Amino acid sequence: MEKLVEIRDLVVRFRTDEGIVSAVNGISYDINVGETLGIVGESGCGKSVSSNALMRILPENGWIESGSILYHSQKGTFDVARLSPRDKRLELLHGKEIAMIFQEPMTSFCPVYTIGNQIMEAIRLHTDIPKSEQKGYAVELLRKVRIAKPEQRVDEYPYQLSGGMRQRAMIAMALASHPRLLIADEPTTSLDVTVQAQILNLMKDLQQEYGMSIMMINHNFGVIAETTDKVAVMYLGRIVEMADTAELLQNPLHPYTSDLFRSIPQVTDARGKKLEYIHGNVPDAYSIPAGCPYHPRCSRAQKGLCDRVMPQPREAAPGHTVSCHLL
Amino acid sequence: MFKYIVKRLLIMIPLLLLLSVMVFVIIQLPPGDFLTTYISKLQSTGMAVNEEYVEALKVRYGLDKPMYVQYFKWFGQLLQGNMGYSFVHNRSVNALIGARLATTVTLSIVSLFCIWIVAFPMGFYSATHKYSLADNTFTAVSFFGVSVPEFLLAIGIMYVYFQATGKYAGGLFSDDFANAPWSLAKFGDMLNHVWIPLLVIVITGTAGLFKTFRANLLDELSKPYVKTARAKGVPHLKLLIKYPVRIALIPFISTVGWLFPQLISGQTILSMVLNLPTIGPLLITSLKNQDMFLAGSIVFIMGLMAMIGNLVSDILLALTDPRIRNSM
Repeated sequence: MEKLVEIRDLVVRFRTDEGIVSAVNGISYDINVGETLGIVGESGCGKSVSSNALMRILPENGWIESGSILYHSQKGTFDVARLSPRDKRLELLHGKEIAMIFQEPMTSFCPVYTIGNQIMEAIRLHTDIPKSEQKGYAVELLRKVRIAKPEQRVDEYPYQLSGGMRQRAMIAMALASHPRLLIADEPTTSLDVTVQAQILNLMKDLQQEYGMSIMMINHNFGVIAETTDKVAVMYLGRIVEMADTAELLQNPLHPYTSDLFRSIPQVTDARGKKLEYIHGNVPDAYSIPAGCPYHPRCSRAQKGLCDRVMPQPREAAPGHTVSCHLL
Repeated sequence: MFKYIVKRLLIMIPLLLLLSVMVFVIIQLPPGDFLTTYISKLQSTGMAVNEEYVEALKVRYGLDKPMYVQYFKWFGQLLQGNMGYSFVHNRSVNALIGARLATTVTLSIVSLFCIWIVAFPMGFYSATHKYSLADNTFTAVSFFGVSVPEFLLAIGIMYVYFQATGKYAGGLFSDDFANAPWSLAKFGDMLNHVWIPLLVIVITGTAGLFKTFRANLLDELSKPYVKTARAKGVPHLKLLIKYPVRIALIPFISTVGWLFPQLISGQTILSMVLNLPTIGPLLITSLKNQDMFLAGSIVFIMGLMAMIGNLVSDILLALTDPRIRNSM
C-alpha cells in the first residue's frame, strides 16, 4: 500500500506550570493512501497531540522533542518534524493537502463572518478558482455535504445553523482544496446520536469520492469500529495496541483494550447488571508509573515484572502489535 | 436597521423630557436657591444687599414662582438653545460653556486617540507574546498606571517639573496668553502646557485599556475558531487581525456609550488639580453654589451625550456583530 504519513518514535512535550510533560512518548504509526486510521483512548492520553504535531499547530508551550514525521506530499517527501516555522512547505500541511475538522462545531467557526465567507477564504487560499466563481463553488461544497438550501445557507452566520449543519459546513470547508488527508478530531462527540450517524456516513461517502485518507480521533469505540480500517489504542502517550479494526475487535490482546470493550454497555445486557468500568483513574502525566503505564489499573498485572519493566511492542499476529508482558 | 435607528431616535424624545425634569428637580432639591444663599452670604459679611437687583433677578428667572413654572421657563428657553444665566459668573451659560467646550473636547479626543494608539498595539503584542519580557514589563507598568490616581500623578509630575525648572506647570496657557486671541504663539504656548495633562491621562487610561484588551484577546486566542483558521492555512498576522482582534474589539465598541459624556465632563479632578479651563470644574463649582441654570445645563448636555453615545455604540455593534444585527 502507498504510504502517506509515517510517524516514527515521536515524542512531543509541553511546558506547563508544574513542569515538563511528555504528552506523546515515542509513538509510531503509518497512514496509507485512501485508508482510515482510528486513534482511540481516554481523554488526556495524547490522541490529538500527534495530529497537531503532524500539522505543526501545537500550542505555543508544546514542541516536538524527537522522532520523525515523514509526509509524502505531491511535491516530494519531507520530515514535518524538522521544518522551520517559516518553511513554505508548511502551506501544504495547512488546509492544502491536509484538512482538519474539530470537536466543537459551535465555536470552530468565527461567529462574526458568514459560513460562505469562511469557506471562500479556504477556496481563495488553496485553489485558483477566480473570484467570480468562488461563491458558486462554496454553494456546491455545501450541497455536497447535503445541506438543504445551500444558496441561502452560504450567507448565514454560524449561530443560525444547527450543530450538525455546522459540522457539515466544517467538512465542506475542509473539502475546498481536495485534501489528501482529513484529520477528524472527535468530529461527532458534541452531536446527538442520529446526527452523528449521518455525519459519519457522509464522511465515508466523501472519502470514496475524493480518495482521501482519514485520521479518526475518537474516544468512542463504536465510532471507531464503524469507520476505520486500522486502529491504534493509546494510553498515557503511548500506543499500547495496534491492528486492523476487524482483528482488534475480535481479538483484543492488551488488557486495556479488553477493559475498554467490557466497559461499553450493551443493549442486550440483563437489567440491573452493573456497569463495568476500569478501576482507578488515568494517572496524571507528571507521575507516570514505572514499568507498564497501565499496571496500576490492570487486573492481571504481575508484581516484579509489570511495575518494573516497560513492555516493548511485539507483533502478536501479522499486523497486530501489542505492548504487554503477559502474552 | 434604518427602522431601528428611527425608533431609537423617537424614543429619545420622551427620554429627554424625563431627563430634563429629573435634572431640574434634583438641582432644586437642596433647600434654598442661589439668591437666598447669595443674600445671606452678603449679609454675613456685613455688605449691603441691592434689593432691587435681587428682585429683578427673581422676576427675570421666575424664582418667585412655583417650581413647575420655573421648569417650563427653563426648558422652553433650552429648546431655543438658550441655556440661561449663571449667577456666579454673571454671564450667560452659553458663553461660559462655549468658551470651555473647545479645550475640553479637544483635550478629551486627543487624549483618547493617544490612549488607543498606545494601548491597542501594546495589548496586541502582549497577548500574542504572552509571558515574554515585553509582556511582563507592560503588565508591571500597567499595574502602576491602574493603581495610581490621576490627581496624585499630576501632583507628582508638577512637583518634579517645579524642582527641575522652577516653573509652575498648571493651566493650559501662560499668563501672557490666557486671554489673548488664538495665534500661532498661543498655540505653541498651549503645547508647552498640555503635555502634562496628556501624559497623566494617557498613562492611567492606557493602563486600563491595555489590561482589558490583553485579557480579551487572550480569551479569543484560545477559542477553537483560531485553531480552525490556523489549520486552514490563513497567514499568521492576517489571521490575528481578521479573527480574534476583531472580536476582542467588540467590548470596546459597547463602551462608546459612556465615552461620549466623558468628552464633556471628563478629567474633572485632574482639571481641578492642574487648573485646566475645562467644563468639569465648572460643573463642580456650579453644584456647590446652587448655580442652577449652569449646573442643570451641563448635566442635561451630559445626559444627551450619553443617549447619543449609546445609540452610536449600538449602531456600531450591529455593524460589527451579526448576532446583534439580526436580533434588531
